[in-house]
Amino acid sequence: MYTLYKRVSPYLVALSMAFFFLSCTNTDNLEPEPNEVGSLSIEFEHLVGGSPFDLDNEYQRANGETFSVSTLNYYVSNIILSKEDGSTFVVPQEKSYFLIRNHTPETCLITLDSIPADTYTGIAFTIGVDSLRSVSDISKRTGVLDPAQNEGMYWTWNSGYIFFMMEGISSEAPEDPTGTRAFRFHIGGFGGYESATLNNLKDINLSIHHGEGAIVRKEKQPKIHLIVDVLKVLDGLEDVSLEENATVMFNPYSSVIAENYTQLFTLDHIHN
Amino acid sequence: MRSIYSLLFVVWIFITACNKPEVAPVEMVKGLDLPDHFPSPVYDFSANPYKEEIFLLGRDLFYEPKLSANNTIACGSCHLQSNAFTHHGHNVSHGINDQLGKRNALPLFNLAWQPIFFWDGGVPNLDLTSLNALHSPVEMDERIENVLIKLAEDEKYPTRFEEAFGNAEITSQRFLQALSQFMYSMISSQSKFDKVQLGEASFWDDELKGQALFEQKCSPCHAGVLLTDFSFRNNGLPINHDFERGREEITLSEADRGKFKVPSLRNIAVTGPYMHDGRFRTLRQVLDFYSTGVQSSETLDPLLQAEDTPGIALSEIEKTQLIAFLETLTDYEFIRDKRFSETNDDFTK
Repeated sequence: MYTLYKRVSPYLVALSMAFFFLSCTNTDNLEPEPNEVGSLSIEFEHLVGGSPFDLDNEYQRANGETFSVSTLNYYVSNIILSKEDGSTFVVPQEKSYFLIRNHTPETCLITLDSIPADTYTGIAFTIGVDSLRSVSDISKRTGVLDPAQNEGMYWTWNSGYIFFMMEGISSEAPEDPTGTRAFRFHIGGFGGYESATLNNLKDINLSIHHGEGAIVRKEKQPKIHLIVDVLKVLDGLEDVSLEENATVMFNPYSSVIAENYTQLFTLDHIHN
Repeated sequence: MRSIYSLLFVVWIFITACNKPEVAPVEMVKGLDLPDHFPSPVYDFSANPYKEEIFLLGRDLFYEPKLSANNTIACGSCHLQSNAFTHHGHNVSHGINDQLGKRNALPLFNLAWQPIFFWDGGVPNLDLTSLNALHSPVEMDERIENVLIKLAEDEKYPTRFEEAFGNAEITSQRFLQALSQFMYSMISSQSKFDKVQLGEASFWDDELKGQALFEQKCSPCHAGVLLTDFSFRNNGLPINHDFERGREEITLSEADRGKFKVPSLRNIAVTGPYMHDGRFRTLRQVLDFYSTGVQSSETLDPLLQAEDTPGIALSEIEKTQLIAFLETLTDYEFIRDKRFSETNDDFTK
C-alpha cells in the first residue's frame, strides 16, 4: 500500500496542481454571481508630450516657447462605464464627482465602488460639474463640491464651478507689474441658469483598443490607466497664443481652451 | 364573519396610514409667517427647514465682522435694517479698507420669493448669495474656509452651532443655511399698500391717483404684490459700457447689454439712493429720469419705447402723486422688527 502511494504520489501532486491552476483560471473567467459588485479605480497620469509632468518644471511648446505649470486642477464627474455589447453602467451621481489636483497625488487615483461585476471596455466622463448641481442649494454641495473644500474652484459672483484650472509661467505671456510672466486659465460655464450662456461642459469618451477590458469582481479591483497630456491644453485642436490669451476666465475664448482639453485624455491600458 | 371584520380593520389601518403624509408640507415652513396675499415662495424650505436656533445663529452671523478678512465688515455693515437692509446714503457700498464696489447694495426682504439674485442675476440660489460678498475683494475679501476656522476658534459659535444643528461641527452647509434662514425670514408684508389690499386701510386722494398712474405706467415691470416681475431690462440709463455691462457680464450676450434686474419697489422710500449704481438720491430724480432722461439704445426695453420720445411721460403733479403712492410701500413694522435687529435685548424667544 505504501509503495503504491509512493509511486502514485508524484502524479497525485501533479494532478492536484493541475486542478489548482485550472480552478484559478476558472475563477478568473467565472461568470459573475447575480448582484455581485466590486470596485474599480481610475488613474490620471499627467504627462507633457511623452515626458513626465511635474509642477513648476519648464517644458517646451511646439512653437519653441517655454512654460511651466504651478496649478493643475479639474473636475471629473458623471462617470459612465461601458461594456463590449454597448450597454452601460452609470455611476450613481452622488458618488460621481471628483476633483483631480496634480499637487495631491492621491486625488489622481479615484476609486469607484459598488460597480456591478462585469467586463468594462470603455469609460465616459464629464470635465466639469453638470448644470443641475451647479444651481442646487448648498445642502447638495458636499465633498469636493463644497466651496470651502475645493481650493477656489468656484465663482461666487457668477455662481458656478471652475471646471478646469491651469496656472503657470511662460516666456510668451506678457510681463505684469511685478515682472512675472504668468498665465491663468480658469475655465467654467455650465450653460446659464435663466438665459443660455457659455457652456464649457465637455464629455470625454474613451475605449480600450487592444487587450481585455477591466474585469470587476468582488475580489478583484481593476485599474483603468489614463494618460493626460497637459501639453494639449496649449497645443491642442487650436494653438493657444499665451501672448494674446494669458488670462482666460469667463469669456468667449474659454471655449477654445475647453475644446483643447477634450484632447487631453487617452485610455492607455488596464491592470486587471 | 370575524375574518371580514379583521379584513376591514386592516383596510382601515392601511387607509389611515396612507393619509398621514399629507400634513407634511405645512410643517416645512413652520415658524414662518407666510403672508396669505403673497404667491407661493420659490425657496426650497425642505432642504433648510426653519428652526428658531438656526435663525438666531444666522442673525449672529449676519452681524459678525469676522466674516471679513480683517474682522471689520459684517453683512449688516452695508445692509442696514432701518433702510430695509440696504446701504443708505451710499451710491455704491464701501467694503473692506474703504474700497468701493461698482453697484448699489440691494435691499434684503422677501428673498424666499426671489428666483435669482443680484443686479445682474449672477447667483441662482439664496444659499450662495453670501459667498459673493464674502469673497469679493472690495467687500469682505475673505475665504469661506478661513471664516469656518475663525468661527470654530470663537468662544461662542461652537455652542451656537450645537444648539442649532445638534453638534458643534461648523461646515459651509450649516454656515450658509443659517444665513439663509435669517434672510428668508425677513418678510416685508405689512406696508400700507398691503393693508389696503387686505381691506384693512384705504388710500387717500394723492395715493389713490398715484396708484392708478402706477398701474398704468410702472406695473408692467414692477408687477404684482411683490412689485417686480424679476426680469432683466435696460431702462435707458446712460452707462459707460467699458466699466459696466449689467446682465451681459453673466450671459456674455450683447442682447443683455445694460440690463439689470427689475428691483422690487417695496420700501422704496427708505432704500435710496437709486439704480444699480445709486446715481439718484431722491424718488423725484428717478421720476425726472424716466420722464426726460431715458436714453435710446439697441437693448432699451420696448416698454420704454412706446412713445415718440423714449421714457414715461409724467407731469409734475403726476410725479407727486406717484411718490405719494410709492411712500405707502414702506413697511415700518419690518424695518423696526426686533427679530432682525443687531441689538435685540428685548427680543426673547
